[in-house]
Amino acid sequence: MARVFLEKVRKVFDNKVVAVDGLTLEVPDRGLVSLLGPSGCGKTTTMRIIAGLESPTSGRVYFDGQDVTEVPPEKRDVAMVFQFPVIYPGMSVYENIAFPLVARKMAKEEIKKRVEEVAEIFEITDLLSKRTYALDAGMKQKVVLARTFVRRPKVYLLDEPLTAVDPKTRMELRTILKRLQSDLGQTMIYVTHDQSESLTLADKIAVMNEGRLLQYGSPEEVYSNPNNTFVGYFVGNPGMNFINCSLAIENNVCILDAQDFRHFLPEISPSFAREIGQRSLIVGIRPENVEVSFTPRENWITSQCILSEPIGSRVVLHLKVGEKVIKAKVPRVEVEPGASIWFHLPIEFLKFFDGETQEAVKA
Amino acid sequence: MKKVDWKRFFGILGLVVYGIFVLFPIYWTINTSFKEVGDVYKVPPSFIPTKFTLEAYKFILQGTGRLALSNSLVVAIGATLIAVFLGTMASYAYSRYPFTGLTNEGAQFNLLTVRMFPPIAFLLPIFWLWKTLGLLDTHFALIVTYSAFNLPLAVWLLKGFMDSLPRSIEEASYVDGYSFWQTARRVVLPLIGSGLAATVALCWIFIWNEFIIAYLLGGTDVILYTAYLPALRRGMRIMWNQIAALSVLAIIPSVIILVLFRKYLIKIYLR
Repeated sequence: MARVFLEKVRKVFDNKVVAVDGLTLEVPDRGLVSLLGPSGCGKTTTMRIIAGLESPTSGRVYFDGQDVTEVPPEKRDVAMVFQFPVIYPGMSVYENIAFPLVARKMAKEEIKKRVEEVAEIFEITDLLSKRTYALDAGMKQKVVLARTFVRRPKVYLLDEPLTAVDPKTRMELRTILKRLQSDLGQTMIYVTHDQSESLTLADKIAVMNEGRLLQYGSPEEVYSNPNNTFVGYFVGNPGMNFINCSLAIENNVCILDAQDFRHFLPEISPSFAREIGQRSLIVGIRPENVEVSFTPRENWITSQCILSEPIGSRVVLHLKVGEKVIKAKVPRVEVEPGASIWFHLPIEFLKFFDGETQEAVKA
Repeated sequence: MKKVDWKRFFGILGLVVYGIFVLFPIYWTINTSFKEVGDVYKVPPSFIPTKFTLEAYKFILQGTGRLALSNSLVVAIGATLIAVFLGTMASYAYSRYPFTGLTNEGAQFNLLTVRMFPPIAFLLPIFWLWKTLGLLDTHFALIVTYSAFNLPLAVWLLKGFMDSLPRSIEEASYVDGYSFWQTARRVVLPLIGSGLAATVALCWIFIWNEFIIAYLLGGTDVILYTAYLPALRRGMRIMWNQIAALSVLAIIPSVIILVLFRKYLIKIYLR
């Protein structure tokens, strides 16, 4: 149990590659925080800095207010799972799981008890006496997770633990992890590039890109109120629609002008439109919030369906208007390619971003 | 009639011929070692001793031969251990840490150049070096020289094993609570065990069989068996039976090491 605080952490490799750039992040005690971002965004480096495997070029790392920046990993009392299962070859499954406890000179019976307990949780009891080389990646990662959860460190660090395992084991392990976290109530930091994993597991999500923290908040917050276009694009499946546009006022009614189409926004007050309308804007809306109709509706935008992608019980329609393509996620329907579809962008789901900085425009 | 598997037939035939080619000199050495010296020079030579005698072994084991063999053991064990120990440390550094001012390949190549020249090219300055220090003809000088000549080999062989060991295994061990040295002992060493065994075996063979260094840097106070072999003659007569006996005795340690470590040696070639 510990509160982890990163203060202006910066990491530069070989004097040129900036992996983490001025990251300040507070992970609350007993919280499950997910670092979310595309490959190469600095999330793994951040984890390695927290674990002590990498020392920051500048900035400090605190555990419960104590500066641990210079403390080597073996003295930090953290447990870490790497993306690809790291098994100690030549040791049996039991010895692998017991390894961190042996380091702490725990009594043999106590080790045995703990290993058996954790093996039960991950359903690998029958593997304990086995050698490790014959195990597949999913099994190996189970052993690694068991080795991680066999002790109670200050912080659990999980670096994309489910990326290398097959989908079935992934679902199983996700459930186990979620349950473990709520049972143990331990601080946990979970790195992933899979936004759905982040949304289902985490209490708080830190979205990173190019070494910077873009947004830090609850899953709902990050999902419904993205700070900038990147967060909107990266969180959600598929990501937000973005439309370059400007706001115009005609007859005292606000109009969204996107070149290819115009959309009436009577709900927006002309004064707000005047205030932000001067600059170029990007309007964002989640595909699941786009309303569609298969019959003409007044003031709705006419489009052509060019593609329909089924995702589970829903389908994503690619709607073409002029040069623009808007995605709409709707309950499953059969749509002929080329069919005319009318859509509407409800004002309550529209997010405005600055066309230049890509940052959200606050109303 | 059963069809003859010619491929298999010629394969086995080839192996038999090769086996004879390799084993005959060993057989002949053993054969010679049990003969009287007069028997050795007989024409045509006999394939088994006409009079079986342990004369040659007695001579070797009672005189300078025994001293030469024990000197060789001391020097070869000492030099092998030092070369493998330093080689392990150095290969870890080569494998894990970047060199400043020089690429890792460059640094490693520099080390390997030692083995690209024939030792004789270095030996005169080395001879004067030990002579100036007053250490010529000592176990110390021989051990240091042999370790130096075999260190590059040890580094080169072990670096391959170190490289194949993922960094993340060590990192997992640090996070699991083990310090650098504990990790080295409990995680790294067991995993490169086969590499260590193979390196020990190869260094041993090079040092044990070496002649020119033994002959130039030793020879009077500390005589190694390779330097003693050419001294086995009486007047104009070469004592082939004694040479053979000493050779048979000298093969024994190498055979033991190779038999013990052969499965690891194969790994070097299979890698």
